[in-house]
Amino acid sequence: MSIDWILCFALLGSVAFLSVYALIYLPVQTRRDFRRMLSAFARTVEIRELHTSGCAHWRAHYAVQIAQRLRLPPPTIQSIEAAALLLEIGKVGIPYAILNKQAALTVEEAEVLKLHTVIGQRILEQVEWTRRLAPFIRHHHENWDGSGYPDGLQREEIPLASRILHVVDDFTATMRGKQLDNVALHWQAVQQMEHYVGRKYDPRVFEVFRTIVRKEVFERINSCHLSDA
Amino acid sequence: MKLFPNTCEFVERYYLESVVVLAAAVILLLAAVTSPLEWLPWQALVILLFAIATELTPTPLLHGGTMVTVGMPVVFSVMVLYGTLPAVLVDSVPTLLAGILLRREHPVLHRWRWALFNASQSALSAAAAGATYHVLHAGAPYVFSAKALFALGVAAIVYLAVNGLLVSLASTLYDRRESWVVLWRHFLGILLPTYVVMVPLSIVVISLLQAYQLAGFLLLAVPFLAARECLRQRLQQIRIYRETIRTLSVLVQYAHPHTSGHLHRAGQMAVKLAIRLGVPAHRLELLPEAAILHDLGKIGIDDAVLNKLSPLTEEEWNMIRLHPLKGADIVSGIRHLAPVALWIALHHERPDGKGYPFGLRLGEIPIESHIIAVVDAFDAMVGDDEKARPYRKPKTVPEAVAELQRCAESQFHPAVVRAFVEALAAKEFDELDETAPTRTTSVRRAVA
Repeated sequence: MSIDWILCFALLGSVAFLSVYALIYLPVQTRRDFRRMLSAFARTVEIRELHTSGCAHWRAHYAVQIAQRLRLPPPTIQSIEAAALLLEIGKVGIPYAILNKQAALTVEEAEVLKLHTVIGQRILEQVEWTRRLAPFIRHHHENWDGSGYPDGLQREEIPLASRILHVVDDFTATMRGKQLDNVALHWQAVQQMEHYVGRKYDPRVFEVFRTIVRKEVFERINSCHLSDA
Repeated sequence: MKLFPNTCEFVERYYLESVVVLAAAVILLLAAVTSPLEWLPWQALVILLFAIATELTPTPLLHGGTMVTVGMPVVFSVMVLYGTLPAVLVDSVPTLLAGILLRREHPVLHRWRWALFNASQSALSAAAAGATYHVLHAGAPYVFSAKALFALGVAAIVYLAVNGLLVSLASTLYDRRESWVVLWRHFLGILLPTYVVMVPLSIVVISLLQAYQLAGFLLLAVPFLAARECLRQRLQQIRIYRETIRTLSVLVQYAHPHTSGHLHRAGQMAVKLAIRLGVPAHRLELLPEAAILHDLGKIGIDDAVLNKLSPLTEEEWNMIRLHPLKGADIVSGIRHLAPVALWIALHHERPDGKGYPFGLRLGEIPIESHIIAVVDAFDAMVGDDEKARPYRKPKTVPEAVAELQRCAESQFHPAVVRAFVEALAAKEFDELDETAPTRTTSVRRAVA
């Protein structure tokens, strides 16, 4: 074998290696790093607010599915996923006692709790890469009919991402204290939420959400069936 | 701001313009001394087009407008085979076009001025390197020899030096109030290893161009692009990592009402202590992060308990004792920060075994945790932040030192306390910078 062939093979080998490394391995790793980072932030809030562990992941799961079904562009979907994980970050600024109060909140306490949207916005604005998520977080408690907070926006004035986040946030709130991994219970939560469609939620977003949960529950039941048989 | 005590104001005010004018002059001079046929041979033109294409490919940029170029081998091979002027063009034209067309914004300067400056500084670097090479190699055609290698190596060093100097001066003038010497040293530290790899790569490119002409060059284009992609991805990862720290340190301020200045000061103090204690350099890297984030777990503790003025009940103490583990729990999920988790988990352990959460003894606790404990305690004692600790008055520095020494062996690691006192006596903590969490942004921009 001549030296040229050896050189040629060496070159081809290094090309193959570099390509795999640069185009497959590193991007996967980067994406994983990014997700871990977001999860760490979500976790920061979960250690403060009792009984919420795992909520952030389900929120992100459904938010992404809704965004995909609405055919939003991939970068927007990624933003929505990040925002879903960072949604409650403002709660680090809410007093622990209010956040974890067992009894019903007084009017003043409820007002304080509402500040978490604004605090979240302020936190995200301090860091460059989350700055574009800040408005999504600020408006994730705006209602479709304009009765929400902090700005009382209504209908299309609310960013679409915030409308999606509102639905998934209320979903995890409805599921609080129940087993989030029990998908059958998800449908129950959706039925409870249906009451507020058009008042709190964008009907279009909620319809998509309903479809997704139904599909998910069906799939889960079907797979149980198969594994039993 | 003043760069040197004796420079005239004119140069400082018109630094950008002077660099641009100088570069233009150099290009004209080069054009005057070479025959028009050698201004840009067609092979060099093809390479120039390739360089423009790679610069302009819409790869998502790092934020802050940073671009990654691995163009040095290309510039050097053109320099060696076709002369200095083509190399200058191959280096500066793509930079200029990319700066203008890709809307790379600079925080202070106008986009056009910044692009022009970048192109000019790369032109000057390439010209200086070319001159060095051709003087050392005396214009002889390139053959693979010790002499040629030597000339190439020196030229690379000149390129790096001119490039680093021009860029760090610009950063000092327009970006941040840091001394250009510091920036330059930092710049060299980051780029030198990269360039060490680039010189052999340049030799490969030159040999291939000589043996197979442009076909050889195209053969290299693929690994070249892949390598560029690698570098970009790595920088992206570093960025994610830095932003993680940045966000977490914003969050930690909610748990611990300290200013960020305090936190960064604590981080730097921890590093100085660790150096004094002889902790190996590769373990120092994460220590500032650990010092900044050590109280992250307090986010999970009832603030009524944290801020309580009266003595705590046993139950409340048990709650507080959870905060090291809660902090470690958050941090352990982040790959780069995994080693920090252990240090955070153990930063309230004491040499006498009376610490929490586990009650470990002297030999079982990592030195980093001891360092964090001392720095944190000192900061808590002398801190004049009334909001942070409303229940007591701040101590003076000698009082705090006396307290540290009293508790050495029981609460703190005696060697760490000793090192702390020595560092304090040597005035090592006097010149800590409270504003600079990281100083890499300007350096990364320099690569563009």
